[in-house]
Amino acid sequence: MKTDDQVVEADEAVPADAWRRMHPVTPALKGWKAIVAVVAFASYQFADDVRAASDLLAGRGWLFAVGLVLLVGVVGFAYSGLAWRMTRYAVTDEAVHYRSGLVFRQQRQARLDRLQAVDVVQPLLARLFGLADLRLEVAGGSGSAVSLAYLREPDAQALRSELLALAAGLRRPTTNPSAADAPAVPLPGGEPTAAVPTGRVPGFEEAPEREVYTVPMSRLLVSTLRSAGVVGLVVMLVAVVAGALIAQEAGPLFALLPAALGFVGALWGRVNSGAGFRAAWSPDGIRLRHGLTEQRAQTVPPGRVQAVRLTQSLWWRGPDWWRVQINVAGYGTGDDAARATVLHPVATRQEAAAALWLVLPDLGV
Amino acid sequence: MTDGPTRASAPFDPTDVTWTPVSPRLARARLTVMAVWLVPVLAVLALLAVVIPQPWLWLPFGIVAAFTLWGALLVRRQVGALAYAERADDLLVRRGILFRSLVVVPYGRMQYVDVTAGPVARAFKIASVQLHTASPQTTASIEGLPPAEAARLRDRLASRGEARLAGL
Repeated sequence: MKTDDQVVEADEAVPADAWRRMHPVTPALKGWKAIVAVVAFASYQFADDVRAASDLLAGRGWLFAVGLVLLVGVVGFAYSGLAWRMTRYAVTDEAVHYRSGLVFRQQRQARLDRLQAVDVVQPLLARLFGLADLRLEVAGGSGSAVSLAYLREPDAQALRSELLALAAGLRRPTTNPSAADAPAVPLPGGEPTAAVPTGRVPGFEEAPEREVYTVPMSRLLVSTLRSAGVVGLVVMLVAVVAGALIAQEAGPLFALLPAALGFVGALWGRVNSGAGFRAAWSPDGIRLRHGLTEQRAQTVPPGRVQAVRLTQSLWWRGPDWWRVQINVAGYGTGDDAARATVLHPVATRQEAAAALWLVLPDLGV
Repeated sequence: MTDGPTRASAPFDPTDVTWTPVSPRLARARLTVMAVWLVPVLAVLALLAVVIPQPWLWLPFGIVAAFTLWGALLVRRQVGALAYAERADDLLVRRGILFRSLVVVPYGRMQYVDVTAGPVARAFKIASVQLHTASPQTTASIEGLPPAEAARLRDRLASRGEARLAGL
């Protein structure tokens, strides 16, 4: 007799041995977030009143604080471990199936012919472990991606090639039974082994690519310094320092501190996401690689770019630099999307033309 | 002009479809969620009124109790009004009595399907199916489906989406 959960979980389109789990190190990488959240919340609460915080931590107070962080850490890791047990995915010829959720169960089914982009994202911590987050972007606002976090980096690459090939209409060789090339232990019953086995689909090699442009670090730094944000920051600094000197008061300088930190953060974000920017063309689609701490390798299949935008701020007119951005239905709006939709962070006129050619080869530029 | 009442409801009631109502267990699930939130509030208000001997303190309790009762009655009617229909090319979801809405999503515009079930929903053996289009706003969601029906609908929507691909 099947329970109701099993009824919903059952899926005839997916053979039982096609289900895979994420890499077992995943909970260790995700559990940290709870600690980070608590520390961030506490520092935000006490940012205005450092003295109150130091009073709290005096005497036995710090023991309590450390205990709280430890408790949150244990809960976070335990939850991540349980969530990892519940999370699995399967790739069939038509769709990607994703199951997750410990308390709130969720199943997502995204058709491969609806694939808008495939990103392999490696945050710093994941990179140290050689893991990667494979994100399948499907159209439909924020939260529409199927995020497979974390897989071993070579596996993520292989899976990306497979997904792109399947999305392009290629089919797995029919003579290769799934059991032969996928030696993972089937999920139901017993302790399953985790992670995708390497080279599970030998038929799909990574498509060859041709590099179109790279962005030199020096130009990225100079362009960031010439951005409107830096100019605004300098003007504001000069004005406030002059005001403080005239009024003989240092108060306004401290009031400026949060704004200045915000500016610096935004600039750092730009340099961080644009560092080592490389764009390449391949039959799979446009390949973009960038990022300093968090590395991101994007692939946007042909015909998935809905719009291109070229912008030039006032201070970029002299060197004739352009920022090229694309609209892809899969990337929603927000911070993460702003990072994902850059086609060229700072392009010369020729490079901007090359970037346009990547998207629209028949534009005649 | 002759058929006044039916004319009024015609936009929400296409003639060529047969509506499938959702499970009545959804009403019980929603009432449970409501009780979890409102019973403690009612208990605190009643306690307050008993402890402090002021007759007007029964007023907040009475107001909240009345709203709770009204909400409980409303939930049953709302769940009764929630229905969906599968046509050849599109899925229809109808809801509401006082404020009516009808969502029509062509299968070809579907981007992905979600099936979700929270703890209360699972206790009452129901699940909800969401059909996402490329627009973040347009989402046809059907709550309160029995598990087997949710699984069937998920697979059916996915296969119909394949047969009638359009756009994006």
